[in-house]
This record gives sequence, structure tokens and C-alpha cells, in this order.
Amino acid sequence: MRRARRRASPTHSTLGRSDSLIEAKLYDGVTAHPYNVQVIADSKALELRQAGGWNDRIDASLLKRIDGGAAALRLGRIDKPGWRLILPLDAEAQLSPLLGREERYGRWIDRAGLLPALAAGALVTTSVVAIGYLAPAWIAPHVPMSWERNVGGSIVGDYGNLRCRNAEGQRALEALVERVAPGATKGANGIKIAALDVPVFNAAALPGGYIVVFKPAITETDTDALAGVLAHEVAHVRRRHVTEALIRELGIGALIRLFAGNIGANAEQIVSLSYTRTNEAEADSDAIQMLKRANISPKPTADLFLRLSKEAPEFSAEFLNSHPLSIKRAQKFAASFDSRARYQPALSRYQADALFEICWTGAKKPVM
Amino acid sequence: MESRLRVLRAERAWSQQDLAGRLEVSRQSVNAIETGKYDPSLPLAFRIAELFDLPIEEIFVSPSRRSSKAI
Repeated sequence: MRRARRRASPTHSTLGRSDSLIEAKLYDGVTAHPYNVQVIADSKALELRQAGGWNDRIDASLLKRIDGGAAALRLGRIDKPGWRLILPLDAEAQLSPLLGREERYGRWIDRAGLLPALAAGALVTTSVVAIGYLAPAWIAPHVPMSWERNVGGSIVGDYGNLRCRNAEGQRALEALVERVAPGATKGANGIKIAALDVPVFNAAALPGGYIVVFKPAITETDTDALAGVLAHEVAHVRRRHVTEALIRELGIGALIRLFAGNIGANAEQIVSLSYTRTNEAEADSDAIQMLKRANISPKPTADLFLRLSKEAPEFSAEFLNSHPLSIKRAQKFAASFDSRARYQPALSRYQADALFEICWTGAKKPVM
Repeated sequence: MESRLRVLRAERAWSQQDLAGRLEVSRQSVNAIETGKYDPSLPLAFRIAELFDLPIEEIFVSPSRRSSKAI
């Protein structure tokens, strides 16, 4: 191959030229008659000579290999459809610098070689699959919160009359969120929290920074533990885990339809979105930090998680579906307890009274 | 719903806060249950029964069996 290239170099001698004469057959694409020609290759073109004195010079860029018999090297011209030059196979070595390598699979595969090409293909496939898993986490932070507002708002709206409307209770609930996450409820993208008079033990983060908390999570939970649960939900909101879970479970297409106002997914489906273990671990870590900064004991939250993880799931099924609990998670909260700290209650007695009565309307007795 | 919760708590010299801590609920819940303003969920009612080691009906008074004078 090296020798051939040297011979075909533009600086070749006349002697070198005669050395590289190749006998070939030419079909001109016009008549069916084959012409015997002699071919001389240099680095840019093929020169064809015929015994009768006729000669032609064809630029390499016009030439292409034609698939065909293994017995000969067949060339065609881009500009003349029927034109064929049939060369002996051993001319390949001389002509390959001019023609490039033979195409077998397709241009880039030939250039790279079959095995590297297969490896590259495998890499691309792996990447596409990996992106499928990771994309929700990449995309979620870039989805504008305002798109999600309507979705969260209409889910809360779906609960209609079940929403607890005691004004003092609502203030106390917001105060509890502010206690664990100062400033969280403020501003255009602030968290909106609603209590729902639904007899299941649950709390959930919804699209658009909404958090809903169901009645038993207020009336039958230690207020400090509720602070831990809310801190955990605030973390889901802040880290955009809700959007991530929506993308993961519904797909990006459904998400766009959802934001476009076509709420195909029902409220229940969104309330029970499940997060990845990583999401939950992040939200727990954030919640532990929030409780620490707020000087609220993490022990009631640890006790609650421990109890729910052991308890028969009928009562807490909803909570467990969306927050898979483990003794390990409870232990993480318990481990952050500092015996020297002087923890303060999450709410004042007055606020706790108001919060307890959030689903109370007027003097009516609440019914479970 | 009427209950003997206040009596049972007093027998043990527990404050509402003590009992709330043992039940892992807020003091407000204990207070509301004791004053009959709030009916606990069944899981909580069972937790209360287990804490005092008594059947539920010995803590909570069935509304249908309540003596007529109480109405």
C-alpha cells in the first residue's frame, strides 16, 4: 500500500508512471462496447489512455466504487450513470489512496471499523437508556413553577368542600411551615398549604408548590412531628421532586398536556406520586437540617415514622405509598437528636389549639 | 363521644401532655377527646385502649348505650 502510494504521488517520474499502467475495460455508458484502456493513477485523478491515441482525465471526486463481483474492481462516475471502469482486483492497492476505502456498511462505520462502530453504538444505546432514567432530575429544575401552579391549584380545588377553612387554623398551619422553613410561604412562588378534611393519614407535595395535609396528620400527630413531616414536604417542593416524579411516572408528554390545562391525571394519582429512595433521603436530610435550625426536636418525627412503619398499614396506607418508611429513616431522625439542645415546641399553645381546630367550622363538633 | 379518659389519666397522675406524649399526639387531641369535642380515629382509639390495657368499650361510652339522662 505504501509502495503504491509512493508510485501514485504527483512527484512520480515518467518511469514510475509507466510502471503503474493498469489494463482495464471501459464501458462509456453510451454504447455497449467495452474499450480496452490503460489507466494511470496519480493522487488526484485517473488518466485513461486508449491505443488509438484517445485519452481522458477523470477527477477522483467524480469516481465512485460500484458494488459488484469479487472478481474485479468496478468504478462508476457520479456524472455519467452508465459509465463503468472494470479494473483487475490487484489495482486496488494502487487506487485506494485515490478512491478511499471500500464502503461495506456505510460511510462512518467503514471509516471507524466495524468493532469500534459496534462499541460506539452500544455506548449510544446505554446513554439513551441512562438519560431516560436521569432526565427527570435534569429537566425538573427547569420547569417554570408558574406552569405547575394551575395543576396544584386545581387539585386542591378538586377537594372543594373538604378543604378546612378555619382562618385561625390556617394561620397556625402557615406559621408551622414558616417555623421550619422561614420565608417559604412568601413571594410569588411561595408554598401554599392546605388542610383537607379527609380521614386518611397523609401529607403530600403537589405541583406548583402546594402542600396538602390530611386531617389525621394534624389531629392525631404530635405538632413537632407534623413539623418534621411538613419540613420533609417543603424539601420535596424546593428540590423539585414533584416535577421529577411527574416526569418519571407520567412522561414528559403527559406533563406538557397537564400544564396546558388538560388535567388527565386525577388528583389521587398526583397525591400518591412516589419518589425515588434518593429523593426521600434528600428530603429527610433537608428536614433534619430544617428542624435543627428551627430548634425543634426531631424525636417526635422519628417516633411517628417508627410507629407508622410498624403499624398495620390500613390507616396509613396513603402515607406509606407515597413515603415508603423504614426503621432506617426513623433512625436517621432519631440520630440527629441532641440531648444537650434546648428544643422549643414547634408552635405556641395558642397556635397549636388553633391548628387542631382547623377543620372546625363554627361551633360544630368535628367528625372523623 | 363520652370517655373515661380523664379519670384513667388522673389515676396515673399523668398530665394531658404526658398522655399526649405516650400516644404520640398533641395535647390538643387529648384535651378534645377528654371534653368530648373530638372522636378519635379507630387506630388512635386502639392505641388508647392498649396503653391502658382495657377494652375500647371500657374507655369510650357507646352513644347507643348512653343512659337517657345524659341526653
